[in-house]
Amino acid sequence: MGTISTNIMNSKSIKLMYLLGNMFLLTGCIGEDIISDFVEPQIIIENPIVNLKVGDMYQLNAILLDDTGKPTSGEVFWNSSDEEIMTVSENGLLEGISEGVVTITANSDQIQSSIEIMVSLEETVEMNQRIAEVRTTSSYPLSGTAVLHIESGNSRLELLEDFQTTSALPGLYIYLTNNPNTIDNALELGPVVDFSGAQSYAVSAEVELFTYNYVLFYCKPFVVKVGDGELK
Amino acid sequence: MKRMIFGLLFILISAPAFPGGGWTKEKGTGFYKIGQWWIISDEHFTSSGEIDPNGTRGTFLTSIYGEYGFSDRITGIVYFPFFARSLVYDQISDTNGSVIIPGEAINSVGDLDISIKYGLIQNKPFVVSATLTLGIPTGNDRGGSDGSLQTGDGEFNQMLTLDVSRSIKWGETYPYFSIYSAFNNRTNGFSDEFRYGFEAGITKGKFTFLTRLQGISSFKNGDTSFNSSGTSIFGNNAEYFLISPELAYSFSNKMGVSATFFHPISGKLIFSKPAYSFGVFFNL
Repeated sequence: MGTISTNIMNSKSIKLMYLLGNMFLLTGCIGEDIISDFVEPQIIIENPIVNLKVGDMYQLNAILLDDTGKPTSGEVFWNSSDEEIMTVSENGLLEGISEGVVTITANSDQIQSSIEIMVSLEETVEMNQRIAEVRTTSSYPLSGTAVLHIESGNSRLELLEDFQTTSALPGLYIYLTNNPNTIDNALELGPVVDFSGAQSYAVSAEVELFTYNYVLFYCKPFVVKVGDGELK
Repeated sequence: MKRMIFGLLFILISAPAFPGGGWTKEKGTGFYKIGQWWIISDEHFTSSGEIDPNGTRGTFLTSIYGEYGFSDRITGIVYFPFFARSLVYDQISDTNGSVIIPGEAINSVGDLDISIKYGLIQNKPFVVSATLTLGIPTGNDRGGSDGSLQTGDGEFNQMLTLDVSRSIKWGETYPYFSIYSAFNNRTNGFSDEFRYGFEAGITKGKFTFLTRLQGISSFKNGDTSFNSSGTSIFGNNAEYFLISPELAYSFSNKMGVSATFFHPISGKLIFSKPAYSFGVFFNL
């Protein structure tokens, strides 16, 4: 009788162990999170100017972005609203002809981007700074002002004195991106080094002032966006 | 080096560490359990107690738990997750189906808990015991490409627990009640903790039903500042209050199975989805 009971217990034990093992196998697989990352395709004129001196030339650069904000290939066509004031070559090379204001348009496959430029006798003025009011998109506090400076040899993103977030966030990183929903194709500037106050992050010299349109704060361990700000 | 601990894992796994409440094992007897514990969570309680999303993470522990009575008053307890798996899901673009961030997983052992329980008052209506638990950091606290996949917290902690229990006769059954409180001294910059809980259970035939209410409060005396890597100790200062009903079925006096559901009611810096466990236990 004792032997029979022991055998039954052993049989149950084996079945239960088998069940336990199967439960582990079923639950231990890497699944998928689906991220809503659609953005409208667009053309970005990376290095616009405010003013071009009569007789000066200036090369504009444009990049095409697909519906996830990823740079993509495609032909860009340039157009000037008044070629008696400013001409633009098929490669985006501007030349100031006479005083006035023109609209330069870059277009490709039904998307376009335009900038307004003044042609004058004043020296050519390049823009070198954009500002974003950053805000939280989560329950974690995050706010302040970010300033993107593009200068030869010293491009940087500065968080001003009013910046603040929480030390409770682990692995908080800062990015420049054209898709604030994801860090895919974003430029990582590094981990946020202080949870409040002024701080500065180096930006690659290859980045133009309008290469990216958003500042993004992302918690790497949580794989989730924490905040953002549109550069204006 | 960045240190980020996802609190729920390392808090909940210690839940079965005190199934005996204030009672110690009789000399020469033992209780053993092989269990599977797991959690998959795509949201967490923030530092302010609100619920925020996160990339889905999962942790799975296959463990052995044992109590043995060295004497009628002294019980040795070991909890060892001998196989631990921690993972994070792939992040997939809804727009084009591409993998934005590939998921990953690590496998290792988890953190080992060794406890010694001493029966201060036994064989009285109220029984009282004190337990010293040493949390040995045998798990991996820096797994995965960013160090956030972990099967251990990387710190050696010492916890002192006081359990008070009572069993009463109620008809043909003997329901029991236990309360406990504990001080958990943590190292490596982690805040110390106050733990507390209430447990009530009743056995009817081959079924035992019990429910625990458990909580943790942080003394917030650990490292909270950002370091040069821009990271803080996440899971430090984690707090929670949860309910965990458990149902056990005994095939015999010597063997049975149990299933537990851990439901966090509130918390801070801790996963907010429930955890589950299933186990096979032996009274020998």
